[in-house]
Amino acid sequence: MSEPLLSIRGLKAGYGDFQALFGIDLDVPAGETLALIGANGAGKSTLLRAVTGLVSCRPEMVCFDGRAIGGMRPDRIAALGIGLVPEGRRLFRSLSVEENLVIGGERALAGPWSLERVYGLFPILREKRRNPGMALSGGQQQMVAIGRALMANPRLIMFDEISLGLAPVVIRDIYAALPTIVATGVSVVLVEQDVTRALSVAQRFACIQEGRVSLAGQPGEHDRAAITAAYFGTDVKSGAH
Amino acid sequence: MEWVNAIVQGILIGGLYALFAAGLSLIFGVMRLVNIAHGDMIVAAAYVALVVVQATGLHPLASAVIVVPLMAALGYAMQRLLLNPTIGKDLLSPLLVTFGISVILQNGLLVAFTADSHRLAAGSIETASIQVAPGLALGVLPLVMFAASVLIIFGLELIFYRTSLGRAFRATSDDPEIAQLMKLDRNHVFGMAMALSAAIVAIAGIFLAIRTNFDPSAGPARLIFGFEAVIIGGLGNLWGTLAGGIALGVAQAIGAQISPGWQILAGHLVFFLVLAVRPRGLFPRMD
Ligand SMILES: Nc1ncnc2c1ncn2[C@@H]1O[C@H](COP(=O)(O)OP(=O)(O)OP(=O)(O)O)[C@@H](O)[C@H]1O
Ligand SMILES: [Mg+2]
Repeated sequence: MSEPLLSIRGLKAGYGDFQALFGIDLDVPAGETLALIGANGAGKSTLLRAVTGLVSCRPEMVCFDGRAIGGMRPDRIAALGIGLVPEGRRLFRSLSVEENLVIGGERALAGPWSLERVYGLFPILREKRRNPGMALSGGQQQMVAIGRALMANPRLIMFDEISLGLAPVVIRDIYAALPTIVATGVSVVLVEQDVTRALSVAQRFACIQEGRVSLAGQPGEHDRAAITAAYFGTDVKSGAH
Repeated sequence: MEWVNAIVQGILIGGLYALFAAGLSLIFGVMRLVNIAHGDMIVAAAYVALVVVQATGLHPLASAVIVVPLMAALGYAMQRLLLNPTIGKDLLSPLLVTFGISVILQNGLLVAFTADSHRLAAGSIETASIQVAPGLALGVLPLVMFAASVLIIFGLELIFYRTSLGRAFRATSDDPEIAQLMKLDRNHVFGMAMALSAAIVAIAGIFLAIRTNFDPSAGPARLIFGFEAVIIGGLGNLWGTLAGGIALGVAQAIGAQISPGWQILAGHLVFFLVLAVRPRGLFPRMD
């Protein structure tokens, strides 16, 4: 197999004295989707923050396209083609919908995404393009956040809690857009609470538990019980007692 | 007519106060920093203009072609070298650095230029006036300065709401962390904000130098006027800042009509009144 696009080796990271990740190993091959699952506080967001440079780590702990990027400045990492759709969407409050998208496309890599393509993917955004980003519903805000990341034509896009707090019908719309995004050849890391849904769109998954990878592989490879155990930490030992 | 005249003069000087305020408001808006050195930067710009005028023989207003880019470059360097290293850790450190810059500027100017006051002579335009009504004459120079202030605020609005630099300013102000993911180098964005603020400071310094006598200790009062105009107008709203500057100018003019001692006090009173009745200013835009 060729070199993966994103490769994480022995990643340790945290906040000040608090360590959240204890040696994570992960690979994301080019063009594939990795589902990242795990309970609240497991360290999924911290992992994405380390990849985007928002929390620091040693250079060789994160490699992108064969290059050690751990601890690089976030703006430099973004320029290499790593996009994030952050937890809680985090739209720019004083920017309109369109401005939120345009700022995402500033100094973009060459690629398929443009304002027109994003509006094609989420037509409601064209109607609302002059509204302040924050005036939209949660689902529409998520569409803006996704569009903002796509506008940069990233080679790797990471979604943190893509459906958290959204109505079921909106979640369906967002997931309906995923195949179009994946079809452009971009690699995807998907953090999702809904394990079944996450596994249904991913070629690989990794389960994080208390800062470590507790289980990884392909969705078909492990049965539901094993995944649940890895998720909640109810491992064989505690089961035996 | 005397009162009308006073109010009109107050409006015109209000434009200058709005200029003092605009740069201050810009820095606060983008990096949540109160630049204590702002007033001293205005006075430093006045001295730079003095030196440029003496060295080149340019008209004071024309000296802007040198003073503005020079101040902008100095502002950028000051931000990158002195302020950026302290920003983001806590709120107090950068504030203290600006306080230090303020002290250094005042004392540096004192050493270089002594405590004597100076003024820039603008020639015949100083005495030119237009008779708008019987008993009401408007000085051409104050009119030019007021128009320039309005234009600069209009230009700032355009930069803020129509350019990619302005988008970068607003995004960084809204969410500094996510703004970095938009490939924005925070240090450069802050540098550009200070450069723009210093460019406005340069104009304000030239206008100040033409209108009044200035000396190295004139900065803090300019900072207070600018600060009051920002607060009266409401944070984050540049047109509000213009209104705030005008309100302050008119209050001072009316105060001066009552008695010379009341001039500055009346301005402060209006400031406190607005603060008491509308703590977020007359036209707030920022939360
Ligand atoms: N800014 C922070 N400062 C200190 N500790 C933090 C910070 N952010 C997260 N943590 C801690 O780091 C650990 C991992 O958090 P993280 O947000 O990465 O988990 P997560 O898997 O994304 O959880 P969730 O499903 O709730 O989003 C948690 O114990 C959390 O309390
Ligand atoms: Mg999280």
